[in-house]
Amino acid sequence: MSLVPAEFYWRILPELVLAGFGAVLMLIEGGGRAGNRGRLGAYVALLGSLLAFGAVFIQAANPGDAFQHMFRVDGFTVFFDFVIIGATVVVVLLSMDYLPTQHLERGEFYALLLFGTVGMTFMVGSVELIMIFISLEISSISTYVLAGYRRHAPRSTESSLKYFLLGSFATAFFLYGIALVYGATGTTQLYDVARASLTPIVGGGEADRVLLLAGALMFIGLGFKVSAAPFQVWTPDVYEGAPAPVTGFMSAGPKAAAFAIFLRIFYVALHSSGHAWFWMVYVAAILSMCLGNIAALLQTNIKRMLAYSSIAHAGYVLVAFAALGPEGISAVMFYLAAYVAMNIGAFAVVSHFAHREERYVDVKDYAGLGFRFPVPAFCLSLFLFSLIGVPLTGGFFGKLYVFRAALDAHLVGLTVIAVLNSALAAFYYLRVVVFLYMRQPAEEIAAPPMTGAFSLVMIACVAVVIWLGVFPNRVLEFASRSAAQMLR
Amino acid sequence: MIPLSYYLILSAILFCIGVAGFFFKRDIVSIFISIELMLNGVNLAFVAFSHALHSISGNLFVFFVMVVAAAEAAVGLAIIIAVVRARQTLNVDRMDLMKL
Amino acid sequence: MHPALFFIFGGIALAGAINLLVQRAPIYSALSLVAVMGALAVLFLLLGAEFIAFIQIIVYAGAIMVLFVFVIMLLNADVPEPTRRSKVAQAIGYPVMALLLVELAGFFAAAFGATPVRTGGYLVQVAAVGQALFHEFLLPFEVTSVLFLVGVTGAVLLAARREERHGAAPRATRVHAGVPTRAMAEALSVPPNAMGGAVIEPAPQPESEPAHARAQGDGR
Repeated sequence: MSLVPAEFYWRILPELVLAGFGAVLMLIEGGGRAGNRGRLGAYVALLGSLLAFGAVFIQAANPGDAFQHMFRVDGFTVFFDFVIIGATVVVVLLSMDYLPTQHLERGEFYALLLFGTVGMTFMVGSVELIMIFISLEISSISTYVLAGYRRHAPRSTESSLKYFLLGSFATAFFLYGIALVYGATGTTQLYDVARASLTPIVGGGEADRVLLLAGALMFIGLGFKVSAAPFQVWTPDVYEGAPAPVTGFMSAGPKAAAFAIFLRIFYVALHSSGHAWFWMVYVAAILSMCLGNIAALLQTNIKRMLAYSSIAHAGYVLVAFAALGPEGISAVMFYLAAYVAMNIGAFAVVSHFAHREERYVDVKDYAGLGFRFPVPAFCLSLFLFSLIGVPLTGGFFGKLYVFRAALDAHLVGLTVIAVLNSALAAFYYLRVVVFLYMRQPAEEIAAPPMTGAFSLVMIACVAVVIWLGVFPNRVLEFASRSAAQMLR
Repeated sequence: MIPLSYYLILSAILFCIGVAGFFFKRDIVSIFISIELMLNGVNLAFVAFSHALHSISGNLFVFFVMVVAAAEAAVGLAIIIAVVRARQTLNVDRMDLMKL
Repeated sequence: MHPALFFIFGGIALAGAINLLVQRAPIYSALSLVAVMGALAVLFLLLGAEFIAFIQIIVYAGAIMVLFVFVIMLLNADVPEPTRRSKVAQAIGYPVMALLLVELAGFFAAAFGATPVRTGGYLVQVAAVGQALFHEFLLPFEVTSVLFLVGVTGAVLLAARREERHGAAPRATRVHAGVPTRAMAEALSVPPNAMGGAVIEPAPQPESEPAHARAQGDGR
C-alpha cells in the first residue's frame, strides 16, 4: 500500500481548504445559534475563500502531476484557479450584501458556493476524463441548487429546473463522447490520448472517425455549459430566474472552468482531429456572437440582457479558440479573466439595485440612478464600457488579443464578424448608461445603502478591470507561458 | 459470436430513445427518466469497451457514473418537488414564466 | 448460449426503452426503466462486470429508481394532456431521430464490427475493483464525497418542509395533471394560495409572485 506523497497534498491545497471550510459551514449550520448562523457562515466562507486564494500560491510553488497523473498543476491550472477563486471571494461578499435583504441568509448557501468552487478548481487542473466529469458534475449540481435557492419564488425554481434538465442532458452527451474516446484509445488521460494510437478493437475504414464523433459529442456537452449557440437556449431563462449573486457566479466561475476543460480536451486530447472540430467552433462562434447580440438588443429585463451578452462573449472566446494555437489559448485565458471581473461587477450592481423579491430589474427602473446613487452607477458604467471594449479597460485588451490571435491564424472573415458584433453590442450597453444618466426617474426606487461588503466587491472588480486595462502585459505573459506549458 | 458492435448499437439505441423521450415527453418526471435512460446507454458502452479492451477503467467509470447519477437524481427530484410546490403543475409546457 | 442470452435480454432492454417512450403516465415509464436496468445488469454479467452488474441492481434500480417511484407517488403524477405543438414536433422528430440512429448504428457496425465478444474472456473481480479504487482512482473516489455532500445539502435545501410562517394550515391544492389528496398537500406543505379558497383551475399565475411577497411580509 503506497502512501500519498506530501507534494500531492500541496498540489490540491486550494481544493482541500475550500472543501474543509465547506464542511465547517455545514457543521455551523447544524449547531450554531439560530439567529446569526447565516452571518457567521458568511464570515467563515469569506475566510475560507481568502485562504484558498492564498493556497493557490502554495499550489503554484509545486508544479507537477498528482494522483496517478489525474491532476496536473501547471501555469494553466494556477491561472484559472486565481480567476475562479477570486470570483468566489467576490460572490461571497456580494451574497453578504444581497441575502440579508431577501431574508435568505443561510450557511448552506455559502457551503454550496464553496463546494461548487471545489468542483471548478478540480476541473481546471484535471487531466483525466473521469476527474473532469466528476468535478464538472460537482460544479453543475451545486449551481443547479443555488439557482433555485429562492425556492418560494416560481421563477427561481423554474430556472433551476430548466438548468438542471438541460445540464443533465448535456452531461449525457459529454459522457458518451468520453466512452468513445475510451473505446478508441484505451485510456482517458488526456496526454496519453494525444500520444496513443488507436486500439485494435477499432477496425474498418471508420477508425479515425471514432475520435471525430467523440469530439462532436463532447462539443455538444461542453457547448451547453459555456452557453455557446446553438446550445444557449437555457441561458436567458436561468440567468433571469436565479438570485442575482448566483447569476453573477454562474456567468463567471463555471463558464471559465468549462472553457478551461474545453481547451484542455480539444487542444490536447483531440489535437489530431483539429481540422474537423475547427469548423464546429467556427460556426458556434458566429452563431453565438450574432444571436447573443441581436437578442440582447431586444431585451428590457437587464438580467436577460446580460445573459444574452454573455452568450455573445462566449462567441468572442470561441473566435480565439478557433485560432488553434498557443496564442489563441492565451487570448482565451486573458479574455476570461477580464470577462469574469466585469461580468460579476455588472451583476453585483444589478443585484444591489434589485431590492426585495428582485423587483427592479428592468432597464427603465435604472432611469436617473446615475445621480441618486453615483458610486454604483459609475461602477456599472465602467463595467459596461469594459464589456463594449473601450480602451483603458480589461475588455479592450481582451478583445484586442482575441482579434490578434484570430488574424494571426488568417481567420479574417471571423474577425470582421467579431468586430462588427462588438460595435453592435455597444448599442445595448450604452442604452443602460443613457438611462442611468440622462433620464428622469419615473418611480422612486429604494436601493439599500452600500454596505461594506458591496463596497469591497466594487473595489475588487473595478481594480481588476482597470489593472487589466492599463497593465495587461504581466498577465498576458503569464497566460502565454501557461499556454505553452499546457500544450507540452 | 456476438461482435462488439451489437452491444454498441444497443447502447446507441437506448441513448437515442432517451434523447427522443427528452424532446417529446410532456411531464418533467418523464423527461428526467429519459435522461437516466441515456446514462444507462452510455454505461453499456463503457462496460462493452472495458471487456473488449481487457481494461478495468471502464468498470470504474461506470461506478462513478452511477455515483453521479445518484447525486443528480436526489437533487433533480428535490428541484421537481420545489417546482411543483411553486407552480402546482408537472406539465413542461407550463414552465413558461420567462418568455423570449 | 451467449448469443441467446444477449438477444433475449437485449430484447427486454429494447422493449423496456420503447415502452418508456410510449407510455404516457410517468409511473409506467419509471417501471419500464427498472426493467431496462435489470436487463442491462444481465448484459453486464455477460461482459464479465459482476461488481457493476450487482451495483446496477442494488444502487441504480434498487435505490435511485425507488426514489423516483416515491416522488412520482408523492406528486401523484398522472397523464399529462397533449398539446398540438407537441404532436407536430413528434411527427417531425421521430423520423429524424430514427435516421440519426440508423447512421450511428451503421457507423458502429463498421468501426467495431470485427471484434468478437467472448463471454468469460475478461472477468473483473470485485477485489480488483477495490484495489483500483484505492490506488489508481483514489482522487476521483475521494472527490465524490464532495459530490454527495452537495447532493444531500441541495436536496434538503430545496425540498425540506420549513415551518409555516403564516400560521395557516396548508390547503389542499390540485396538481394540474392529477387529483391530490390531503395527505399529499400536507406532505408537500404547499403554502396557502394568496387568492384564498381551494384552487380549482391552476392557470399559470404570473401574479403569484408579488402576491406571495405581500403574503410573506417582513417577518421572514
